[in-house]
Amino acid sequence: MVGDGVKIGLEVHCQLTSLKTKLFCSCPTDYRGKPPNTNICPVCMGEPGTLPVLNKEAVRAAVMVALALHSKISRFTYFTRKNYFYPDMAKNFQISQYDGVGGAPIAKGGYVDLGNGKVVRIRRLQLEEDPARLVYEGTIDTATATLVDYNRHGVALIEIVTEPDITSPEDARRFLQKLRSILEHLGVFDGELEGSMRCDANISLEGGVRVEIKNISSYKDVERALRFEITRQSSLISRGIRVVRETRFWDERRRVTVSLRVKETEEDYRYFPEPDLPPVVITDEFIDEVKRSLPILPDERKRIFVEKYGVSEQNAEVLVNDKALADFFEDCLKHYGKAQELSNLLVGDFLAQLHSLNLSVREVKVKPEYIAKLLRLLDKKVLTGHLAKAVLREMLETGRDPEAIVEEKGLRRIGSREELEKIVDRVFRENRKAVEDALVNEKAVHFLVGQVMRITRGKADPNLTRQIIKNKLEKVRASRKA
Amino acid sequence: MPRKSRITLKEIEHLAWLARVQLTKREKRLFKEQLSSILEYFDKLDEANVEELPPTFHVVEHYNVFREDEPRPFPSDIVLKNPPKMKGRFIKAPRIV
Repeated sequence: MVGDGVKIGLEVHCQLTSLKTKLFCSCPTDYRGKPPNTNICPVCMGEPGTLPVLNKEAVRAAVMVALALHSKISRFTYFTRKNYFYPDMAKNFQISQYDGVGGAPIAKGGYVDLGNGKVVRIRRLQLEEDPARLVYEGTIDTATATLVDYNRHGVALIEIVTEPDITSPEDARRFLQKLRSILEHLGVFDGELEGSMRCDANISLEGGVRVEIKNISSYKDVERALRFEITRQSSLISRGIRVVRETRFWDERRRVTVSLRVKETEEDYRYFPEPDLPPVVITDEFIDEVKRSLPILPDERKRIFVEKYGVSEQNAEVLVNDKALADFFEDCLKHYGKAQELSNLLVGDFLAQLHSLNLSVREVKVKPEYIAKLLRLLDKKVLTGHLAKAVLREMLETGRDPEAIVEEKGLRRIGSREELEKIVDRVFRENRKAVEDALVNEKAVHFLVGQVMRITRGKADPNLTRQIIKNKLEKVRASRKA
Repeated sequence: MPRKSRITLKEIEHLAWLARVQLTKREKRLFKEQLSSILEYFDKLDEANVEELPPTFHVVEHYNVFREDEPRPFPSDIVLKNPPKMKGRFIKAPRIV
């Protein structure tokens, strides 16, 4: 069976976007949109005679992440040089940390609860420098030169490596979303910034070998890349072809993985302790201080949503997996007390429409009061569910007051029996064949209801319409018997 | 007796590949000899008994040297005087992969 015995491990790189400067120099981190190579200095460019100095806040941020992921923080940690010749690092090495012999990453162990009964263990956390952005003249295959923009180079990354505990592409995506939410709750990371989270994935199928996929840069792509790889590997296996252990590159434009012949192995990186940076000692006092300053995190927030507000577990999980959505929910709750109904709207139609409008929650211009108003219009039966969807869409597009939309577009529910009976009469006259069908076949009643909805453009009260149609059919039957 | 470190021609070729340099036959032989003698010299260190000692990662006992997170933009044009090849504001490097 495709997808059986899948083991996935992720290596996630998140920029610590709350930092104002790079990891080892005082260059600013607001490089996005700047002309190439304007955000550089002799330190990040590795000029001879310069010395890197560690950003104090990067250590604090990493300790916060370690605490939030239940990891064990190293009391003694230091940096390591990872040597390789590739122009994405100006120094020909990356200042990183190392988990092998003689290495001491900032934290080890820990876990993330996916909220669906699955837990993903964390192997390690480490601090390292972001590499430069490479641009190819022409395509990657035919380029004769590589153009390098070092603006991003040296920005602080936290690398989070999981154990191979993830068993499906959906869970890989869920993991990234949960991780993003945790980091955003901590306030150290902004997932909305382009390129702020990237990941590599290791995947193996039952009886196969481990294949590494590099260059995954979005939540959607992690799922796509892994799906592609599962299909590719299981098709090889089913044809009796051996899967080779290799590194592949996710081509996000063509949506395929392609083989990368990387000959460097771990020992080729010649890791050794970075002599320019003294080790870091992390004291219990410091950890306690950071612990006391930790904000509320998704799992705790979910508990409050369920226990205090009475939201279903399932809805609460969706809400807290997006910090902006959870915040918006709480803002709306101040104006509308029925938490479960509110959560139904937000995790249902609201998210679905945002998705189709390609908007994120943070881009929503609708005031929380207006969401409350919309729900009250539903409660008062001014709107049907169908109409509410149309009004919500208009609200998301324009940010306008739902009452104004209802008035202007005449989107009120038609709940008057008299008015609806007239429309039903008309539908019966115009659809004689369908009426005959409906007399014998319950399912054909839907068609008649649909006709009423069409004429009223969805404004008819569906229950009342159905009741009137049934009564009328009953009358027809009775008159025929007589 | 400490092991005599000898580096093979194959290892020299691998190192040259990692460093992205091309070596002539003569250079390979020369570096093989030179690196071997350096490694042999290091063999002396193996004679020291260090069983009881923790590994030394840094020679000076400095810890926690930090910098405040305050931006200080640098005039980047000065830095751009060094790269050998440019294209616009991009630094031009050889084709890779």
